[in-house]
Amino acid sequence: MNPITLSMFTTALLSGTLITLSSTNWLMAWMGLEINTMAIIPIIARKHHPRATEAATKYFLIQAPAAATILFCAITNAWMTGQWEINQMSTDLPIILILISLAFKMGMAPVHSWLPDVLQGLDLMTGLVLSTWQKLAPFYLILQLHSTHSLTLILLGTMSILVGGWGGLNQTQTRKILAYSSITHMGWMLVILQFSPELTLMTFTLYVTMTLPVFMILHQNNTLSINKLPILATHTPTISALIPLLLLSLGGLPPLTGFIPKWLIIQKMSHLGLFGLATITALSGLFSLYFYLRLSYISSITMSPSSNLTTATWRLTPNSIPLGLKTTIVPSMMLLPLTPMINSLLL
Amino acid sequence: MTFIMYIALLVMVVGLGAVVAHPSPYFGSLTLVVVSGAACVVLIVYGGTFLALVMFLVYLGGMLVVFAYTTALAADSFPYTLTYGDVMLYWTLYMGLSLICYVKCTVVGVVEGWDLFENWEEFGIFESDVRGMALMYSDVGSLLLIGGWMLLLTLIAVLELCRGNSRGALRAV
Amino acid sequence: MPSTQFVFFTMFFLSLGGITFYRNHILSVLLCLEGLMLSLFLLLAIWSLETNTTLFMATPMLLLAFSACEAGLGLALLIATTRTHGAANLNSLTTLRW
Repeated sequence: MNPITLSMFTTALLSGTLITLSSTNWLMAWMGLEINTMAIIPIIARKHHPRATEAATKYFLIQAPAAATILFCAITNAWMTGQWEINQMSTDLPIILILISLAFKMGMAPVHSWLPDVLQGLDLMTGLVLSTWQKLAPFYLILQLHSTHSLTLILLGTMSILVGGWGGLNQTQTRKILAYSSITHMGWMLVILQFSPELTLMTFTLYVTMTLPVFMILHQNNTLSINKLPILATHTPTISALIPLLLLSLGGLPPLTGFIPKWLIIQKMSHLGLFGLATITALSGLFSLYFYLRLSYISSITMSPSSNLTTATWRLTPNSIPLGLKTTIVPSMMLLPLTPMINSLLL
Repeated sequence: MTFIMYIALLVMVVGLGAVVAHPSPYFGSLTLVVVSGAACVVLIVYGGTFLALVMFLVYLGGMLVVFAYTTALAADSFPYTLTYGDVMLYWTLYMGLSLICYVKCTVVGVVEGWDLFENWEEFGIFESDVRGMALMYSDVGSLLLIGGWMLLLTLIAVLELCRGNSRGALRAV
Repeated sequence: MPSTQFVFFTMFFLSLGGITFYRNHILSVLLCLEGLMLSLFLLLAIWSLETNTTLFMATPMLLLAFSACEAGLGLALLIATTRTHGAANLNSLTTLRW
């Protein structure tokens, strides 16, 4: 793509989300979402091969009706109460529909099945944009509706955690696994949303921090399926040593960053006496831990048999580690000791 | 006027049912034109004469493009007309479903009365929607800017999607 | 809720159902999307006409512009899909399954 065109779409992508973030009115929020969709579609279809075009078509056919449903609910709310403000929705039916269609836009559990498909058609950097930045605007709208309809939020959240874990179990494509991991993390955010929106925000931030280096590493080595993961050991040995820690951090094992949100969420739930919900979420986190563990096992815990010629490619072409990777790989593993600080900053 | 309004509302629902029953696309787009015509009538009765005019022009223009597309892309030698078995089946199914919903809602009491808000007196330039439209150039000018920018963005996005040797024409060779 | 509003609601949900339950020609889905936008336009316009909110009279126009953008983008994607897949069928969009 021409860099000028690309910069125009990137600007639109940024400003669409910013319009949604800075609006108090449903109409403006809807406009921001539409601009966002409009800007990402040429970026998705940038390579023009059949898979990219198909991903763009699917993304469009999902996002356009979802955005229309959001606006429909807003108008219905205005017909009923005369209110256009986002955080002053008061009638049940529009709220439930709007939550479901926002979940549809983000790709959460009962309406998630487009996300692995669409992500499969993209290159990993566009996939990174799709699974982080594109979720920001609907996520923010859901964040503003946090005290509205608790049953819908809980159902969406627990179903996302379960489905994200189950869906990823049998996948061999890294992009699909990352999509399911994104579904799971969104589920954790929605489960805690009505009890503590700050925790949700923190989970989102930490999810972005953790998923960024994973996407970048896989992009750098062009590992699109599991059986290409052993390449990491020959291309970038240092990163190959770090990637199990990164993946387990995504899965939420204790000495790593990913443990913070899970710890605080479960702590909050047990403070509120919701032991059943806490047990379900904690146990269903094990599903996703299983496939992270499998990824890290294949990538660096075992050595795949290879000839002597291929073992040292990192000497021939020194891979420079991109700056974004350098800066995010440390916080995505080592933030746990800073939990009190994060706690006091965000909560 | 009330009678025209009833007819227009009926045409809207029945016509949209026909679009949704998925006949071949050019029958669908023709039906959608009829539906948007009926929608204009409804808008006029409600007093939004300028809005109705604009919508009719935009929809007619847009539907013209869609119609051109459909005739260019039509490859089915046996098009599904509106009277084709499946289409008729779905059409009646959708209409029946809507009717059942309506009856149910009236029985429960969610839907009652018609509220035919007849605001229409004369065609004139001092209707409220014209005044509102004038606001687009003063108070809510930023929205106009966003809309225009969105249209430009669409233009470039469409160009980007369908640009190049192998992607230019409508048909694969 | 007056019956006129019910008519617009029916239009919306009919179009949504048409998008959801149809798996064949993309163009038909785009037509349903147009129907969706038509019902939204009517709801928005009649809401502002009934309540006489002058400030909101311009919003149906913006909705119209945005729906035109969506329709244009949809048609462009239709062309792109036809070029890459040889057919504009939703059934043929299966390459991303694996």
